[in-house]
Amino acid sequence: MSFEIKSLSYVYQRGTPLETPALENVSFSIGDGEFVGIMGHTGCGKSTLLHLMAGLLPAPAGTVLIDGEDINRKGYDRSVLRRKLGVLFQFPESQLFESTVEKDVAFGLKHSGLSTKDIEQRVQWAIETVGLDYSRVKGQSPLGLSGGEKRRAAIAGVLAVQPRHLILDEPTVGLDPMGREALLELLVKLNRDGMTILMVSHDADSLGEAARRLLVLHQGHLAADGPIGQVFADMDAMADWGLGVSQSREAAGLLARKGLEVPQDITSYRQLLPAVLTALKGGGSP
Amino acid sequence: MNSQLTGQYIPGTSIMHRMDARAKFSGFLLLIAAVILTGTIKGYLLTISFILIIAALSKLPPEIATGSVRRMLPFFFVVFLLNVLFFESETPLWQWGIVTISIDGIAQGANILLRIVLILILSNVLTLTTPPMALMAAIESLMSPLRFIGVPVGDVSMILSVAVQFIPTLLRETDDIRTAQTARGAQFESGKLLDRAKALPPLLTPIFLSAFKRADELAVAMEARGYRGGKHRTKKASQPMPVSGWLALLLCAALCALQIFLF
Repeated sequence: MSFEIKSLSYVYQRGTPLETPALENVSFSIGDGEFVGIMGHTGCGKSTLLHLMAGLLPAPAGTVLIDGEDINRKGYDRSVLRRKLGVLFQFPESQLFESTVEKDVAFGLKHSGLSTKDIEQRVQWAIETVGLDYSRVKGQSPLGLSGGEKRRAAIAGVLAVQPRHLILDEPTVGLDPMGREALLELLVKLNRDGMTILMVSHDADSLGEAARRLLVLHQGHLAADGPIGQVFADMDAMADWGLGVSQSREAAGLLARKGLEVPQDITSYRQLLPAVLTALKGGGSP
Repeated sequence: MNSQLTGQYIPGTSIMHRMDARAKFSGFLLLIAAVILTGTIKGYLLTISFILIIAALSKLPPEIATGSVRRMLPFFFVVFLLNVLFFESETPLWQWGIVTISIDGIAQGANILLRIVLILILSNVLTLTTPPMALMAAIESLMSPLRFIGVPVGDVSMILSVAVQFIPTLLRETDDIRTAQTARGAQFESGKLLDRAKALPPLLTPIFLSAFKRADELAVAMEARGYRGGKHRTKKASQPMPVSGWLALLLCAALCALQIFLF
């Protein structure tokens, strides 16, 4: 198991008038190589959950196991955690600070004990993996890149460590359609190569295309957990949690209402098109 | 994410929360004067009870109203000790080298300690019950006479209020970037002093960058909406001081006068 979360709770500013519960008794586990999406209305505890899972907040109640190890156990070596778990926060481009892209991407490898040559190779691999031109950008200031390129450079900085697990918070926000498509392709590829991916997002279309399993958080509780097609199938429940579903899922619903026999666990256009074609052929003229 | 600033405004509906900010701020200044003027035991009894009543009227939880006081206890202890040990007195109780313990020294130590604690509690009550923007408006209106000697009061107050408004934003951003860099393997807490100093650029560079970017964006946004600054600046609502405000000021002034003439 990559992640095992057991009865996790969290309260902000405990003991003050501003006390607010963020998570209440949340439990789930994520296996190696899964691609899991997390959705939830603003303030449902997503960010808190993400911080707790990445060991960036101490867990006062409940346990977080990563690869079977309690990350809040006394004496647990955090630097090991940082090497196997990559975290990409919202607007990661704001964390770029070095004078060149190459140095910035290498930042996470500083304490890795790798040789200079190995580090250079890793950096080149990471920069090329995110689709940037290594020879062009390596000596450039990260601040001189375009918005989409900055995002890629920041992702390269996380990938350079070659983590086994990757947590992403709203990675598609602020990207243009092309950039979004490229990012999702990259994530699907990394996942196919064995990386466990956990993606928090409001973007139902992106999740519908890339994720296979979906967790829904509602007011600090785990409201749903299952294959994304199944969770999206119940559009009423999703609406109750203040969430939308992917456009392809909505289209499938509308087509079904028109009498076309389209399965209702469709989440992406890749599934929608063949399903519509089959339905048209099988059912004769619509 | 979890940073609650010392003295950060806590919404409420108590008398202190509802009082006019101008009255609160001038009253605060008068009370500081009263605390400094207080010199006798009877005088202290009066001043302390006055300030405790104010704190009680604010309906703040005591541990929050005295938060900074408790955090600074070690500092107070040192201040008290220095006064007790090194106050030069004609009638020492005990003397050894430059160390002198005397009744006067102990009194002086207690005096200074009480003053700091009382002023801290007062300023806590002020900032905990007044939204920063109301406080800024109050300071501006109290500063407005300075206009006649050429001080650009409007600009100064705009600069102050923008700065105050951005404190929470910058804190949140610092938190976010710190977390993000920690996730990338930066170590801010552990290590020797030199290591920690080396860990600062990944934190400071992005914060400075974003602060400048924000300042730029704000300037453009203000100009786009027609901000011209200076004497063209008007207030949203300018009201005369309510009777309750004058009454509160009168009480504070009375305390000052009592400390001067009675004790």
